[in-house]
Amino acid sequence: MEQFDLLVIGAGPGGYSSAIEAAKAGLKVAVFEKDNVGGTCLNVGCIPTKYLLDKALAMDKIRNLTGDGIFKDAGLFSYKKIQAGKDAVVGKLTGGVSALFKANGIQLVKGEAALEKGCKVSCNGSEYEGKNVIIATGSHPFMVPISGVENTIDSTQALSLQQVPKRFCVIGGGVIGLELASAFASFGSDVTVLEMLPDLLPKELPEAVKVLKIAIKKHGLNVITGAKVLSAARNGAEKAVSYEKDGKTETIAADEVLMAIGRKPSLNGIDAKAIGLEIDKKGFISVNDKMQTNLEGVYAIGDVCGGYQLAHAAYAEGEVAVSNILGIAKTLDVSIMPRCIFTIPCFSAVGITAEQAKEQGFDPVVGSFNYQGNGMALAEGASGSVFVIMDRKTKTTLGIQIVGENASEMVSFASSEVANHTTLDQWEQKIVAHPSLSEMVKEAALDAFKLAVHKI
Amino acid sequence: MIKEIKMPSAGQTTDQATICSVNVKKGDIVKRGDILVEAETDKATLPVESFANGTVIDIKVSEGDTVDAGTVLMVIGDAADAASYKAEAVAPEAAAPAAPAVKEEDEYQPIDKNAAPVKKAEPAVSAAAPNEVKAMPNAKQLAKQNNVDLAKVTSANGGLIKKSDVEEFMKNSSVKVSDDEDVYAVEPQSRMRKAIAARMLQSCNEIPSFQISINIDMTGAIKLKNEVLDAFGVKISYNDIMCKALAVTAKEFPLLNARYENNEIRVCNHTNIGIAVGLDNGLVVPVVKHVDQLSLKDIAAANKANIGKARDGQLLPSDMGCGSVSLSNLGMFDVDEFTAIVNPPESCIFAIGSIRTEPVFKEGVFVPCSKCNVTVSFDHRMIDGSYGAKLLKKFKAYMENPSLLLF
Ligand SMILES: Cc1cc2nc3c(=O)[nH]c(=O)nc-3n(C[C@H](O)[C@H](O)[C@H](O)COP(=O)(O)OP(=O)(O)OC[C@H]3O[C@@H](n4cnc5c(N)ncnc54)[C@H](O)[C@@H]3O)c2cc1C
Repeated sequence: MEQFDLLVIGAGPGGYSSAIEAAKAGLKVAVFEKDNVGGTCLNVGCIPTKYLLDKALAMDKIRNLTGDGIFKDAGLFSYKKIQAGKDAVVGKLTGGVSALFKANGIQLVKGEAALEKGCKVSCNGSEYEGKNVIIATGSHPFMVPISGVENTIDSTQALSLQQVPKRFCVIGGGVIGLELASAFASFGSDVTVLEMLPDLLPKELPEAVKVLKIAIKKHGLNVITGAKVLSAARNGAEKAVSYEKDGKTETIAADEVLMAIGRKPSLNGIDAKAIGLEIDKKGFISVNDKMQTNLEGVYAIGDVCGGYQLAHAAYAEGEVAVSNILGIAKTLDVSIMPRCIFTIPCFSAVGITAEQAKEQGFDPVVGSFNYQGNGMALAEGASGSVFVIMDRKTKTTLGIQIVGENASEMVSFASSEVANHTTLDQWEQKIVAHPSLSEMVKEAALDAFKLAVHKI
Repeated sequence: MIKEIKMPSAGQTTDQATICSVNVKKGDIVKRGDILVEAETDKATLPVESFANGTVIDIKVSEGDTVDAGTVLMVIGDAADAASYKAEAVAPEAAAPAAPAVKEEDEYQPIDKNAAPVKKAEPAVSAAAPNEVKAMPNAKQLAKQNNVDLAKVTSANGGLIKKSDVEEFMKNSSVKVSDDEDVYAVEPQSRMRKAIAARMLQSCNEIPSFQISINIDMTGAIKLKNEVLDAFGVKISYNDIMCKALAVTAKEFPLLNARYENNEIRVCNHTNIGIAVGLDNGLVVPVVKHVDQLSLKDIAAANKANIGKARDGQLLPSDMGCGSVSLSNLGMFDVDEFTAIVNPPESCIFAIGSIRTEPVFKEGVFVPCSKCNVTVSFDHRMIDGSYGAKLLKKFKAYMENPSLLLF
């Protein structure tokens, strides 16, 4: 039986980053992957959606410039070429991960691994023993068993549609649903989003969510909230989605129906009962703040243990797990978790909302700044708003939420300010490059105390 | 590092050129300065040299292709580049779904959501399309010259029909050309031929020209020529002396330096003179620039170099098209006199006949005298009759008394 310091099951963002980190620290590492390295994120998640959304954004820009008469006409686009380009980028990135494995002397075992008792893993008929194991098996789309669920597609299938559907219906107004809805709206689909909850993104700042809702509606998304989907029937190529809203049953016709209502932990190869692994009520692997499971030497990170189902959360959790494996005690802190939704326009948030601040005993004030007051935004034709949540008493920064172009880039700047609890005085001293959209973050912070320079 | 060999700019009148020969093949090792490709513009054959040492990794053009300035003709690099270049080129292809190939036109849809869907090709066009055979320009040319129906030619590689495919077809086919078609052969027109045709037609259509003839006593010029040969061992030509005389004349008659461009009479600060050089397959007019600043010796050297380059097809686009006057000398062909067509946008062209011995009545007797007829065509938009006549009187005086040129 081959001996390793660390066995990693799954080569998604969580698994591959932990493996590389551990190998760099001198551990002998093997990684098991049943599919493609890169996991959900690189193959059928973050990167392919962003490729589509980038092209979608470019097309919006072209439409706006054409509307202004700067471009004479908008021209033609090939969705087939977009798909081909997406595949090429995915290929390049996953190839990069394999190269990193090789360069760091990590053994990649292609096949489905089964975790056994005592930090042992079997795969392709061979046994491997590790001093530690990291489970990073990720998640897969959860399809609610409504009648006619077979007439719906999941996010993976939606990403590789070879044609733009004329009518695109999305079940689920979460991050994945909204992002794909935004992309297809740009590509020309009539898009309807059905969300069961009375409002979108209930955990985020209501002011910001309101701005986002107006913006995505303008972009062409017909979002119906409080809609409980009942069935997805099929008549020839056409599909019909029935839902209940306010006690009435409605039906909408569609050419493709995406179900994006959440993701389930992937536990193939992990027979929790047999090995005595503790699972929470939602089916995720239970971990403590060191990412340790109840089994000696076995850690779990990423989507498979719930929490924020984000690639950068998986990276962070992997780092905590590897640190602890190396004997450096470390616990996970998710208070500064950037949360992005790459809708058109995009949304980002970090830190807490006003409501959460109140619950935690703060006296929150929300400052805001509209893109219309920012030179760079006007030059770019960008629109949106920035919100900064500050504590009235200590004048420190608690949270920042941004809706509008480049929100996902600005959130990194916002994150350090929230992490540093930047005070009003510090905001005033901060010099932000002009012209830039980031100026608005400072302005919104100052606005919490009515000190914004470019706001009446 | 991968180096791309691009088509250089082909000069003032055009940025287009036709590839007339590709001198290397994939895998060849080339040195800096090697001529990779020769391209023909409307004015000259342009050798495209390698600026790098390395191996030819990819050739992106074939003979007969029309290319614009900046087009990548060839890719050169080392062995590592060759490997990575392939990877780059292949990846997107491999990634493309193997789905049934959608026709290129059908694949595109409007970005503007309100725009009408992409129109399918008009029936008339689509009906005509199958008849249009895809072939390289040089293959089309060869087929036309030999009355070969391209539709009957098959491409060896399944792609565009190449010249070699047509040649192969001609070798194998016993198709007899009908008698009717035997009556004439169509002369292929090079780009130069077409350019000459276009410019001369433009001249006739646009330039109101008139001619003035003068008869020059060449005794002085002949003497000068011989004296220079005796004193310096340098053989100068009558064209050289005329250039010098023209440049001096232009000091007093600046419209000799004028060009009619953009509806403007643009008087250049210097005298740039073109010399028409007849070639087997056409005619080029290389220009000697700033003749007003050159000695007779320099002028002779410049003209000699230009003529040599013209004969070798080595003229660069920048060597041509920048004059205000041209000289066309048919003296060597025993021509008494002729008229020439103004080379637009120049102000005039001098048509020079041969030097012949004529009797001149001098002091009561006929004496033999070496005479040369020069007929000048002027662009009347710039130069009027009296100005032209006065200018030529001066020119004649300089030619007949070359020592005045020293003044
Ligand atoms: C459409 C979409 C868009 C997204 N966009 C974003 C975004 O913009 N930003 C963001 O941060 N996150 C995004 N996410 C979420 C992100 O992809 C996940 O949070 C992230 O991939 C989780 O990483 P992971 O390593 O936990 O698991 P995964 O990426 O799911 O990887 C798990 C890997 O383990 C393998 N595996 C499972 N079981 C076994 C076994 N028994 N043996 C061997 N191998 C096994 C799987 O094949 C898989 O490759 C998106 C997700 C989707 C679906």
